[in-house]
Amino acid sequence: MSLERLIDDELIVATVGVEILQQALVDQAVTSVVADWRPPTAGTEDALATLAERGITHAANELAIARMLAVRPQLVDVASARDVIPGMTETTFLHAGPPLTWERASGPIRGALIGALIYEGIASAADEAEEICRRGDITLSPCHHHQTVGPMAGIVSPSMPVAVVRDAGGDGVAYSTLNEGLGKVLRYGAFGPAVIDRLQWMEKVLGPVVAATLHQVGAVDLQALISQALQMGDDGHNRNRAATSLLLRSLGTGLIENNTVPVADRKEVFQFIDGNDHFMLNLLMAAGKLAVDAASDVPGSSLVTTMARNGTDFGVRLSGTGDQWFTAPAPIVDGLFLGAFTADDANPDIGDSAITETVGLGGFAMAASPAIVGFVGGTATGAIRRTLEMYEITLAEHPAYQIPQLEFRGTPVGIDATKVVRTGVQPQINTGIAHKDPGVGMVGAGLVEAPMDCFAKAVIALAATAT
Amino acid sequence: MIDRVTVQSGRYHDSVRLMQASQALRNTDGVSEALVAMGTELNLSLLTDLRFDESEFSSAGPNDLIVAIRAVDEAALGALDQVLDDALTAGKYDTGAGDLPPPHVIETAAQSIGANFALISIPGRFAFVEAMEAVRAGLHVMVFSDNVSLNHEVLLKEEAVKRDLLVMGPDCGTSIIGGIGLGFANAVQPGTVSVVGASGTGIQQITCLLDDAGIGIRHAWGTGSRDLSEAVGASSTLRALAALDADPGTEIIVVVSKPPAPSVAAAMREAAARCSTPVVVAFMGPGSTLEGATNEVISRVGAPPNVYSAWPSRDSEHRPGSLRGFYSGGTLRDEARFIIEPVIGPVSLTETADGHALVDYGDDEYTEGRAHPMIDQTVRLERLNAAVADRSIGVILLDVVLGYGANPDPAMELAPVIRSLAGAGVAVISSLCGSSGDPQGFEYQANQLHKAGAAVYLSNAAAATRAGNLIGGGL
Amino acid sequence: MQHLLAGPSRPGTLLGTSEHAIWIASDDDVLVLSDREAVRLPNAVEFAVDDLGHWIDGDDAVLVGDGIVQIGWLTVTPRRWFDPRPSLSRCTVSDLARTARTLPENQHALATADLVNALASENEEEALQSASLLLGRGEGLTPEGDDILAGALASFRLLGNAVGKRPWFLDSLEAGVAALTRTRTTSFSGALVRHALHGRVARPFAGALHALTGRGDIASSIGHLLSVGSSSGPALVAGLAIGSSAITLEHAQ
Repeated sequence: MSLERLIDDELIVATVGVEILQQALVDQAVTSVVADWRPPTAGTEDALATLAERGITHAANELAIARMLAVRPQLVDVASARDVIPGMTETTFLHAGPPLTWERASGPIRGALIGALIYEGIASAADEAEEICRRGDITLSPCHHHQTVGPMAGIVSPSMPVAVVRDAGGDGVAYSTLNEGLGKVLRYGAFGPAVIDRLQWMEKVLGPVVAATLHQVGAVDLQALISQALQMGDDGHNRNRAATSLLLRSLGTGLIENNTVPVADRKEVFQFIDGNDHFMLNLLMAAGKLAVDAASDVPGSSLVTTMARNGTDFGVRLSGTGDQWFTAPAPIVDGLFLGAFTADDANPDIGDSAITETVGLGGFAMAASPAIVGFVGGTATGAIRRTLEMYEITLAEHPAYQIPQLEFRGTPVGIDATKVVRTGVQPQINTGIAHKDPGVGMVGAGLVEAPMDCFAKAVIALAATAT
Repeated sequence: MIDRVTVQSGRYHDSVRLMQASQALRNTDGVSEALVAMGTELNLSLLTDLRFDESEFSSAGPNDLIVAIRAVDEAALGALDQVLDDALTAGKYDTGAGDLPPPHVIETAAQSIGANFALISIPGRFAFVEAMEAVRAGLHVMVFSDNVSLNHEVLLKEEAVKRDLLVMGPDCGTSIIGGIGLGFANAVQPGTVSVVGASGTGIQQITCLLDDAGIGIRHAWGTGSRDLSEAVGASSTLRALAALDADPGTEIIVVVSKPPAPSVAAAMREAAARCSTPVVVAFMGPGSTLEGATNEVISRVGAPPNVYSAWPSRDSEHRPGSLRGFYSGGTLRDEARFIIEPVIGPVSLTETADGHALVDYGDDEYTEGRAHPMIDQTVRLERLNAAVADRSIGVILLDVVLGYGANPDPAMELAPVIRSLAGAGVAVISSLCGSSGDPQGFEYQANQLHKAGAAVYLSNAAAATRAGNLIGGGL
Repeated sequence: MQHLLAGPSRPGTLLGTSEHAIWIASDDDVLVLSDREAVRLPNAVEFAVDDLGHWIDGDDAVLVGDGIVQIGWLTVTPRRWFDPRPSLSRCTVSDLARTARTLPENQHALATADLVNALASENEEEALQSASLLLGRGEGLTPEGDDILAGALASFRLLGNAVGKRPWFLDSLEAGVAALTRTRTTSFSGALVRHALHGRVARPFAGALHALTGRGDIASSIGHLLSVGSSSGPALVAGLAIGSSAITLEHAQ
């Protein structure tokens, strides 16, 4: 409203602060609303003021979120990690979350590394593998540094087959491992013979067959699949049954028609995917990685491009602060535990799967997935309300991911770190819970809030770049 | 009696709510004393005055919440947690329809109702960020908060100019926009006089004087106490003046401020001269009062001169002693000073043991961690009570300001101590800035103060003149 | 409306309710209690609430006076007053002629050139004749004929002021028009026509007048006015065209 209109137009007032001033407006029958304000997270005042003074974040964020939402991820291939992942060597082992050392690693990560070393033939037994790790004879590096993402421990070794996801609208590419299924699997830190055998089968059969199928049917439009899955009750993090089903449909004819592959193998592959409701999760995570990488490195932008955990630390990165990680201790997830497990059995939060919340899925799309609520604990209204709160800390509503229960409103996408510290609203993540001991597996699922400290540190660092 | 003191960090509540919580606790059976407050120096000293054990709260800082209670026994103490909790959360933002979560920052709140205006009154060190977001979201903004840095004020106003928006403030206590009172404002009749002011109470006094004369107000835009400084260059005042000049519904404009920087004063007079609407420029100082400016407006609109409402005292007797002023606002205190000093010589502007003084209890040192004295009269009442036995005081001058946002019944709180003072032979003179439409009831307040023994004047200049007369004789 | 509420408390009549408004007859006037959704009429008390009509019952007793309105259990205390007479910027007749040209083509069946001429030539008999033909004609809570007449009278007065013309002719019409409104149309609509004659108008109409005199965007304010009510909008715009034509025509003669 221009200054001229202030003369004639009726005021509609938003207030923040002393309540009696708001009450005075109500008493005068003025249309008004009061914000439920509290001071920003301790230590961030000066940084927020600096950013407001410079005035660069709004435009930078607009650019960054536009880039994030313009990405059109397509599953095009499966290949060996050593052949496609940048920076991969014969002794490089990628892991979920921010940078980590063996000394600080938790049970699931250690177990998964042991399993990966045995699988690669570098070690023949657990104690040998441990010794190699302790000596530092291998290189540990975050998946995120290599255009890759992995759920739970997220270990990627050279021989593993990885999905290749490309941007149809640009030249970005991202990778992820293929999902092993539930129970005793590498990503939960298991390393027994069954685990190794399965990994071998995935390398020799699953990977090549899916690759051949993709060459046959052409690229699979992951964006379209995810959008549909959201309207079928998936949330894109803890519930992926619809998406996995849709994926199988996309691959189906290609699988059947491929006569170069033995029938037995084709059947095994079909049954493997069919029996694993979370098969789509890894691919969906790679699609997310493509989107966040596209949005990275915009100077001055407070858009969150990474939320990831390594079982010890929770790490956050912003577009405007490049590769810098901002970490805090990974929280213990509070939720529903399977069987007789309790919070005492739980490992701290782990995995790159918070990439889904970073791109408007998972905890940010819970209203689309009522079934999830019972699974993660809590009430339906409470969980949906928490999802609604996410709109206040995000930059946009997703053009493709829509929530039928909210009149097809786009999911809240593009977390703005400055909004997180100003509102006190932390991003809400739906996640599985791993047992703290290697190899036991999933013990439950729940909701966890990304630690405020990460965002506080990030905003302070962003302000430093602006001065 | 049992004392209990707790100190909590990470809790935040605004000062008015804390005051209400203290009252709620004190009103509970079995409680003889209670204070719920942030750990500022002023509040810590109040706790010491109340004889709470210093060791229990000496570690508390300004960001900590202190709850200090004195009760008859443990049982009484036990019941208080609920009372306190209710008081601190009562009427908190009600999410209302559809269980939608409440907005936490100004731009989300604005978006939720399609707002075109933002009113910001959070502590000054946080206000810049919210105000800047509001401007960036395309809203006009009134920053009620004070203690915003000069640099931030300049940046806000520069950004506002770029977007054809107006920033009223920081430290803007009063505005009336299209008949809507924002901040501390009086309910006055609509009309064709517009006011632009760098002083909130200045605006309040002028609008009430005009209302008393039957002249209505079109707009009264506050621009912030520092707008006419050199650095800010009257950015908001000049733009407000231009907009009101172009307003067909405004017949005359009054500009009111304490004396601005000389270059700014010149620019203002030039701008006023260029307006097609008549402008009365009132830079307050010796010889220039709010009543005087109002009288000029009245004559320019062709209305007959007004005799402003007053409830004078019948006699001029008072015990010997100095004049002490207990003001809740700086502008009215300064006006009193400009009127009285020529008569009796320089007066102290800070509390003093003897001699004349006019103190502004809205000053930072008396309001740290407390609500403004126009709402919370605690400190002023304490001083007035002390004055009863202080034989060095003979005449007392105070202001009572009514209107939206202000204390719901200041006269009731003041009446007992005024009676005591009058009974002890002190002459009590009160200016009462209000209008007949105010929620407190102007006539009712005036009558209560008068019955208690005070001489009451709508015009602060008249009250100050009377005080000067009593002390110095013959103004 | 202040005079209505200032007097002693006296009974009023509940004329009707809709979802967003309550209409009360008191003395010779009609008082409208409306909520945020409703268009702000000149004789309205506006509430910052939603769905006002649900708050009362059809057979509640009504009292008006002593500063308040009482309907059954509901006590209404006005807190803030607005002036329904807009102060328009001064403008020249040629400026007005230019902006008035942008008004949409007058397609209303009832709008007549007779009223334009009657106003322009200040012919009392012809003006009253036109008024009597318009009043009560058409559909709606406010019949379209009433809206056309109200729009014409209000714009003739207010735009006349803006170009510096004295309103004596309208003042002389007042008695005759008022008498017609009391017999030929509903009390609610008649009250609005009487207010319009004095230049007291609904807010969207004020917006359109401001735009014609150079304050605001004409297209959007006319668009806003057109959407008022179910049939009132276009009729009010037709009235606006009549009033402004009469002003510019008069000066051309």
